Amino acid sequence: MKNKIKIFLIVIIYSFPVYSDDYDRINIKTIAENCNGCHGYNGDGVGIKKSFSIRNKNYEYFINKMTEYRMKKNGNIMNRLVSVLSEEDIIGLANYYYPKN
Amino acid sequence: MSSRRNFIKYILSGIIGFPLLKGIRANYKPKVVVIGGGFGGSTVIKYLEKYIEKLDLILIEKKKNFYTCPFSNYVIGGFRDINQNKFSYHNMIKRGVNVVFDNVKYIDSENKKIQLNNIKISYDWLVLSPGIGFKWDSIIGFNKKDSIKYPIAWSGGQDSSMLFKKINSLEDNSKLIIVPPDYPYRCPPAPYERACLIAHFLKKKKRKFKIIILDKKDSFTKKELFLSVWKKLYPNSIEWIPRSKGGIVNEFNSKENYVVLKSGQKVFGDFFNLIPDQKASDLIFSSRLSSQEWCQINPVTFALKNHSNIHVIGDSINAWDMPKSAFSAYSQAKVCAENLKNIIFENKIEAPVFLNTCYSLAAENYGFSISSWYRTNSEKNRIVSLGSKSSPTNASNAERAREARESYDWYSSITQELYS
Ligand SMILES: Cc1cc2nc3c(=O)[nH]c(=O)nc-3n(C[C@H](O)[C@H](O)[C@H](O)COP(=O)(O)OP(=O)(O)OC[C@H]3O[C@@H](n4cnc5c(N)ncnc54)[C@H](O)[C@@H]3O)c2cc1C
Ligand code: HEC
Repeated sequence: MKNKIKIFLIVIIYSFPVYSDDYDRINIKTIAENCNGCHGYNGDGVGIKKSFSIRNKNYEYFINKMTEYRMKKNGNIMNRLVSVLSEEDIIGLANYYYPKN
Repeated sequence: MSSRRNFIKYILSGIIGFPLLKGIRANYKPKVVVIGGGFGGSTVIKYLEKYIEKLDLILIEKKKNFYTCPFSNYVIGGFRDINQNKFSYHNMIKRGVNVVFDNVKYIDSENKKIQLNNIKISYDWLVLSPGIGFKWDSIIGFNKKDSIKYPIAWSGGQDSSMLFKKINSLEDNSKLIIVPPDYPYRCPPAPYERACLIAHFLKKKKRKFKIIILDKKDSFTKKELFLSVWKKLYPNSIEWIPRSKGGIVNEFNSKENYVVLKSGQKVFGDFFNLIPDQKASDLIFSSRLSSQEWCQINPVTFALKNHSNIHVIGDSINAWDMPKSAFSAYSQAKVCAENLKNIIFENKIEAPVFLNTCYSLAAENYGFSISSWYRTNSEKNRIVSLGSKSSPTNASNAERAREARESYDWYSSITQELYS
């Protein structure tokens, strides 16, 4: 009996998290943090590869470059990664990396 | 009586634990212990470090240095020194993380205690990223002891150097046998990348050789790319025998140097790299945390099923569509860290997005990759791929050379983020 209650409680705890109201709207930060894998912590570029920084450009350059990756089928890695993102994601990412204020 | 007390304690910790942390225990820093300082564990640490003022953060790792599996095939291919794959925890310690070097024998999840070699450590929240374990019964005649003489080289480190030494000492006209594991296993393209890089080395050395891959599977990741590359770079030197053509290996005879196929046929060789089937890390089973081969988790929080306050990431979990890779472990770890923090501080849980990219080299300057984004399904009970995309099969040599260089950029980026 006790075990049953325990299992019941475990189930409650397991499903305890409260999801945010706009859960289905992906947080841009969670997309951006995956970019760090190749572009360094915060997208800052790492070590000798400063050229790999996403942050050392500007808002317009970022939008243009990402749009180009999204539209062109030139078969490079960014091309393949960005083809899944929406225009809205790209603008969201641009605001994330280059906050307006 | 004592079990009743435990039971009450259990309810308190599970349900009204949060108000307790916030209210009466206002100055209390929740103790988060991470076990395993590989790709998954080190990423959780990195992304929880921001909250070090509010969390008591501890990493437990059994080895003083971490040797990465990524790029260990480059060591086997003879164009990378093993020490280039070695990382220490010095900088993590400098960043303020409490690192304990010890072997975890088991976790007492009922009492929230971790048994190390000599002492016990308690936790409020536990994150596990302990990697894989082997199913030692998957090839008769090949067990843990045999793997010293016949290195598997599936955990980074000196094994890879030993394998390279063996390859370097092969005579002309040698026959090499590679036996990849069955799904699911750590790094799906790695056995086939390994075949390429061994071929690359022997070809450079102007040796005549034949590599035979005896496979339990009828397909593998980036198969079209690998098959076309084998034809182009190593014609008639690499032969892949799939399951449907009799590739299943049942037995290994180390005295007489042959493997026995399911059909009973013996295949003799001068070199063997046998990679057993895999399961979650031994630690999961010594702690009775899973009755299945891989940990079952909640894909949004990585909470372990049927256990409170334990989260598992990386190779030890069933991550549905996501392959077992360093990039996957790294991507899962960030979501786990974010949502664990949200649980501890009673914030709203965020929807996850995951990414994986695996680069493979077929020669020193010849690379290609596969990547995919992932989300959870609408029921939030599994991770689903949004579609994998690989490098084109008809890419030019220049493009392959560029992807090979990019693999180094990825490697230096991820390792510097975690270990510098
Ligand atoms: C040949 C090869 C090539 C690969 N190439 C790539 C690649 O190019 N790209 C890629 O993304 N992935 C690659 N991988 C896969 C990658 O290595 C793994 O998927 C990744 O390491 C998984 O991370 P993890 O945190 O789950 O485990 P690990 O990185 O293995 O970390 C586990 C850690 O836990 C520690 N540990 C285990 N048990 C205990 C215990 N009881 N007590 C204390 N500490 C413990 C271990 O010492 C280890 O440091 C490759 C794998 C192989 C074999
Ligand atoms: C698997 C590795 C990898 C990942 C992950 C990755 N990138 Fe890239 N990125 C690259 C490479 C390689 C290049 C250089 C490609 C080229 O030459 O066009 C690049 C180039 C870029 C550039 C152009 C930089 C410049 O100076 O012109 C931008 C912007 C960029 N990436 C943004 C992103 C964003 C945003 C993400 C996440 C959504 C991301 N990248 C994820 C590998 C990656």
